[in-house]
Order: sequence, then C-alpha cells, then structure tokens
Amino acid sequence: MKDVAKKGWETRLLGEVCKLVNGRAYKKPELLDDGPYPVLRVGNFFTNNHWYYSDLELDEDKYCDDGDLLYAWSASFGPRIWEGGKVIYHYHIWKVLPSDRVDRDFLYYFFDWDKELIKKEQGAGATMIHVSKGSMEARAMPLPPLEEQQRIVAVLDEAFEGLARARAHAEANLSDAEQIAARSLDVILEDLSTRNGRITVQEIAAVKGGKRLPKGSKPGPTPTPHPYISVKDLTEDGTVSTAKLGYISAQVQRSIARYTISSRDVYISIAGTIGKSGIVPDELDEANLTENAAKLVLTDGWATEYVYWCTRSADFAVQTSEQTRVAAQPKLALQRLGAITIPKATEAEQIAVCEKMNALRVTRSELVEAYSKKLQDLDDLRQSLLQKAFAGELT
Amino acid sequence: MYENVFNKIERDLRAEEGIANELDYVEQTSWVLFLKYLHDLESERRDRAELDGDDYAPLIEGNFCWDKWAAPKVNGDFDHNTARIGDDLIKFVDQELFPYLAAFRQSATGPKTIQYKIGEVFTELRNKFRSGYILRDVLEAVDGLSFNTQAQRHELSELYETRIRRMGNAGRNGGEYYTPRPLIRAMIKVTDPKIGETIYDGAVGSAGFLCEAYTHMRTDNLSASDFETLQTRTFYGQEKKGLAYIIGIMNMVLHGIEAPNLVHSNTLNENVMDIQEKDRHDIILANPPFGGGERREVQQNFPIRTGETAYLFLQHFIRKLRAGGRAAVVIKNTFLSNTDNASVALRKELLEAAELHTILDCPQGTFQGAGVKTVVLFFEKGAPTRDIWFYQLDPGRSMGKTNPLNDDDLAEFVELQRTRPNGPKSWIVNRADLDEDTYDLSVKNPNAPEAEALRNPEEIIADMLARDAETAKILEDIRGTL
Repeated sequence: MKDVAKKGWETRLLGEVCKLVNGRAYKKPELLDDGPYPVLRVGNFFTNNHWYYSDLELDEDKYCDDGDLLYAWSASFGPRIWEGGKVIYHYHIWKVLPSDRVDRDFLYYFFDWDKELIKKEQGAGATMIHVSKGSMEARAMPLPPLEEQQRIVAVLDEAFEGLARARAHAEANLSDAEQIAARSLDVILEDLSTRNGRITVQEIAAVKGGKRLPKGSKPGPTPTPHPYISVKDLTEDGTVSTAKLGYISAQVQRSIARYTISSRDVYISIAGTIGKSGIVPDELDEANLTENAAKLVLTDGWATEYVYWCTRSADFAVQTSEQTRVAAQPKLALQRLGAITIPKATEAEQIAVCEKMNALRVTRSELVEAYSKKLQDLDDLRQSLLQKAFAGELT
Repeated sequence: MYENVFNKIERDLRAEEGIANELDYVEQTSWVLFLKYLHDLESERRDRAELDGDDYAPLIEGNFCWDKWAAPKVNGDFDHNTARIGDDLIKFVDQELFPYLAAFRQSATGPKTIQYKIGEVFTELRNKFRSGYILRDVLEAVDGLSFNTQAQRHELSELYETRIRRMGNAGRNGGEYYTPRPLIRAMIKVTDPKIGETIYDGAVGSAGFLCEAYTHMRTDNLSASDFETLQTRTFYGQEKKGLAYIIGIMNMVLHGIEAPNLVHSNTLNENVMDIQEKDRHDIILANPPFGGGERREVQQNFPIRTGETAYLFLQHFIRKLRAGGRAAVVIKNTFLSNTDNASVALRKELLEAAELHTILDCPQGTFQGAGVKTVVLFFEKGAPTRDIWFYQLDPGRSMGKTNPLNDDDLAEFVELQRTRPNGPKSWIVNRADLDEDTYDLSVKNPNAPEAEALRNPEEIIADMLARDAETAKILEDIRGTL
C-alpha cells in the first residue's frame, strides 16, 4: 500500500480485521429436497435457483442471516451481503465476521475491489480461481479510522447506485440498437403491404429443396471445387460462413448435381432451426445445398435482396412458425413455405427498400459497438472509483 | 430395507459377462425374483391349506422347488453340502430348470392359470448368467427378500419400478416400455375407473397403466367381493414383446395382482371387425408404440390401412371400448395435423365414433430419450364429438433426466378437466368449426398471452436518447463527488 502516510490510515492484514468462518461441507445424502433450513451453495449465490435443504441442527456460526457478509471463494468468487433469510451456508463460502475496527460495508467494498486484483494475480484467463483461507487472511488492507470508512462507504454507495442505473441504460440501449433496424424493416414492409397488397412466395419464385448426401458419404474439410452448404454454415446476418464449410468429391457431386444454389437465390432453413435465411456469396455460387434448407429461385422482376429482406421481417417469421409442423424435429414443408406471403413491390420500390436497409445495417453495427464500449467504460469507472477509495484519494 | 439387496444384486450382475445393459439387469433380476415370489406364494397357500385341513398340491415340485435348488437349508441355515454352485448350477438352470418350467405351458389347464403364465415366462426368457458363482450370490440376495406382507411387496414394487424407469432412461429400446408415472396417474384420475369396470391396455409394456390403476382403485374399505373383482376381473393387457411381457407380469405381481390377465400376443393380429361385445372393456388406458411399421398382412385387419402402429392401435381401441366406456390414449402429436389419407380418415372416425372431449398437449421431453412430442386423447364411446377441450401443459421449465414431469405439474390439468373452462392454457374447439376436409386438430392456443406491441423505430430512438441523457447526468454527478 503506497499511501499509508495519510492521516490515521494504516495497513493491516485481513486476518487482523475480520474472521473467516468456513461453511459446512455437506455429504450428498445430507442434502434433502425438503427441510427446515435451505442450504446456500455457491451456485445459488450467483445464478442457480435450485435449492437443497437440511434438517441438521448445527452450531450458530454455521448459519447466516440477513445482513451477514459472505464470501464465495471457489470458481465463481466474490463478496455478497446476504439478504435471503436464515440459511446454512455450504463449503466454498466463508462467513466474514468483521472486528469492531472495520465497517461491514467498507469491508464489502474492499473485497469487491480486491477480487479484481486476485483475478489479475492469478493470471488473466485462469479458468478456476481459488483462494485459500490462509492466503486471504494474509492479504493487506488499507484501514482508515472508522468514521473515514463510513464516509467512503457513503460516497461509493451513491456513485455505484448511479453507475448501476447507467449500466442498465446502456444494456437497454444496446438491445434497442439491435431492434431499430428490425423494426424499421417491419414498418417499411407494412407500409408497402398496405399500398400494394401481398403475393405468395410460390408466385414469385420456384421453391426447391436441397439434397441429402448419398448414404455413407460425408462432407470433408479439405477444399474441393464442390462446397456443400449445411445449416450450420448459414449465418445470422444472412450469408454463408466458410469457416467450417464441408466439401464433397466430384463423384458425389455428380449424384446430387441438380441441387445447387445460385447467388441469385435466397436460401431458408426448413428443418430443425427454421427460417434462417440469406444469400449465398458469389464465391459459393453453384455450391450444393443441404436438404435442411430450401432455395427460392426468383422470377424476373424480383430482386434477390428485396426478397431476402422480406424473409427477415417479423411478419415472415410469424407466418413461418404457423406453417411449421413439429414432430420429432420441426419442419417447414416446401409447399407450406410457398404459401407464405410478402408485400408486392415495384422494382424501384424494391431498390429503395434495399438501400434503406443496407444503410440501417451499417448504423446498427456502429451503435452496437458504441454501446458495448460504453458498458466496458462503466465497468472500468467502477473499478477505478474503488481504486481511488482504497488509495485514500476519495475526498 | 430392501434397497441394499437390490443394489447388491446390481453389483453382482455388473460383474457377470453375460449381462450387458439395464435391460438385461431387469430381465435377469425378474426371473429370479419371480421364482422367489412363487415360492413365497406357495408357502402361504400351503399354510392356509394346512389350517383348513385341506391337501395342497404344489405348483413346482421336487428338485425344482426354490428351497431345494436355490436356497437349500438345514435347520434354517444355508446348506453348503447340497447347494450347487459354479458350472453345476448353470447347467442345472439351463438344462433342467428352464425346460421344466417352460413345459408348464403345455400342461396347464388354461391360459388364465398361473401355471400357464409360468410356462410363458420361461419359454420366453433365456438365462443369461454365465457364472454359477455370481448366480449363487444373486440367489442368496434374493432369498433374503420376502413377499409375505403388503408392506414388503409395496417396497419391492417401488424398487422394481425404479429399475424399470432406469431402463426407460437408458435409451430408445428401454423407453418403449416406460410411460412417466405422473402422466399415467393424471390419465387415470380423469377416466376415474370404478370397481366392477374392466380396464384394458393393448400395448401393456411394463404394465404401468394397470399397476397405477390398481393402486388408484385399491382402497382400504373394499369389501371381500370387491377385492376379488379387482384381483381377477378388472385388469386386462396384451403385449407383443417377450421381455416387456415378463416385466409387465412381474410388475403387476409385485403390485399385488396375483394372477395378472396378461396375454402374450400381438394385439394388432386381431381383426377389428371380429371384436364382439364380450371382448369389450369399460376403460382403455394405453401408450401404444409409435412408428413401428406393421407388416401388410397385419394392416389387413383394419379398415384404415397404414403402417403406423399407433394408428392401428387407435382403431383397435375405438372398437374395443364398450358403449359409454372411457379411454385415455397417448399418441404422437402429428396425429392431430398430418394430412395423409390415413390420418384424416382416422381423425374423422374418432370424432364420429366417440366423443373426443379432451386433448392434453404434453411438452417436449415428457418421454425421455424420445424426441417426439405427444398428446393424450381422452374420449368416450357413444355420442359423436361436439366440442373438444384443449389443455396445453406447460410446467414452465424444460423436462430432463434430472427434472422429469411430476404430479404437481399435472394437478391443474386434472382439476380443470372437470369443468373444462377457458383459460390462458386451455380452450374449446367446436366440432362444427373444424375443417371438413382435413379435420385438423392442431394445438393452437387462442388464449396465449399476446406479445407486447412492438415499438416504432421512432419510439425506440426516443427511448435510447432519454437513457443517454440520464446516463450523462449520472456521470456528471459522479464527477461532482470526486
């Protein structure tokens, strides 16, 4: 600790300012589905909602109650002020009993800050972070007088409350940024639909299925002139990823040569994951298509990109799910796919839709990036406020 | 009390080379248990005959008696001198015991006698023990089990059920024989069988429906004649597969039905046109196998020909039901929507021949190991269908091995079914509103809560800007405190 010269501040070992009490290690048969006391495990501490119970009567310090400071010290770790009523805390959790020279909340904030330091010490990317009781008790803690502790706590409380709100706002904006383009598409298409009416997919395109590979053959990772597109290769943003693309031999290709897809077609998945749609990039023009996807071979006057955007609309998704039949695996029959309708549009209108959507697509990724960055900034700000507090610089 | 014994048997079996999987465990445990059960049954009958001053003719005689070969005793202690072990024991079981018991089928006076059942069981089964030492250990463990009191039987039946369930979870093959018990209980509560009525399952499997129905109907205040009716003239079942048949018999015996009316035959071989009033039953509870693909000659027995076994079974059940009789049948959900000729014809037939009053839509994962989604059809023979009450079962979690369907999940369905109200998960479809070409009965909940209206892009942008403004103010405030 650098700034201990500050008036009244001293550096103490954690073991001197508080006591860590081990939770009880339960054997599996002792964890019951019902009983008078819930057993708090590290999982419940963070995300898990499934509780076990116990009927054992234990020493008083094996229970924790509202307001107790706890610390999970394995895998997921960190402090928490318990507010869930009287429970037995399990092994991998300490109950922290502060001495009278330290404020509980001040200790909580210290743990919160120190947690990040431990992560750094154990190396970024360490999968299992683990702290022993001994090493925890030996950690140094800057300790101002009690009054000063309480003042710092008050400042942090207020700032963190604001930060939590700011973070929630940024998260909401991040998800809204994703929605703007989607909702704009719906509005634009609704508008076209009211003006021009609708038309079925089978009227503007031939709906054709892909083809399963002959029995015994499998697409391999070694590139050949014949790529084979599976549903896993179809991406969320409406193209085809070549990262894990499989290839087939010329011989196999000959047997399914009719089932290729052109970059002028629109593909849409029809089995398992339903309704993933997009356009095949030029370099995969005439690649073979899986039987789990269909292609729409468009007639003249219909722009591939326009039809693609139609398949991305909420309205199209609703129709798809209505037409899907679920048995062992959800399936969208070609005939039913053909019965789905999209808004009619002139060629000029189609171009206008595509231009607007492409512009929005760019804006969307810019916004998403901006808000992701903002979230990171807010987290950094939080940590830096803690840093300042424990360096005695929060005045 | 018997848990340890069962675990020990399982440990022993695991070391046995002839036994490979959960199915084998259950099968091989079953025949040993069955013989021990017969032995206890016989001792009890002999004692009773003695008290009444009657003569008693044992079913199994001489060296084949349990206490002669399986657990020979001198003064109550195990007799090591006469007990066969090792290859001698296996040779005895394979070459003498099984043929002796199998021959009961010929010597029995009729197919309803216990002798005949014994004969069937041992014609069907093969001994898979290869080590006479392991078999000896298993025999010793089983000898420690006793079937004499109701409590003992109850415990054994529960342990046996656990094994069947585990077998069901073990994979596709085992799953054929296992319907989740909470679903069965709900089906029984809705059909509510009464003493004097007969209950039939044409694809009986592990006899889960019959055993649960027995438990449901067997109350403490039954009169002796009611109990007699329940024991001998209530439960009927047929099963095509040998192993399931054995398990079914064993399971019913353990549940307390002493001589189950189970027949080992393919139900679908019966021509439905030949079914007469005397062959009919009051209650049908079943979960017929899906898929299957019966052969053409079997399809000849049905007016609506299809390879789908479940559809053949449904035709069989409709005709097997007495007028006024009630049925609950599990079927693949595609039955409700498929547009092939057989599906459409069968839906029409069901709607006309019976009053299909309730359809329970089960969530994915109700049947473990099987990917299919299922529904339960509840119908009454007699009047044609007027309206159908749909209930969409949604336990609010995804089903899995560690988190299977339970009775609480189904409590609301059973409760609401009495009054068939409209609600967020339930609705009524009128027969008159059905499409006359397809009779499509797909599950489409008109009462599902509507998704919140979507915001306009303008509204979204306004929301985002407002949040950004507030964030900016918060950040200013924090700066102020520094």
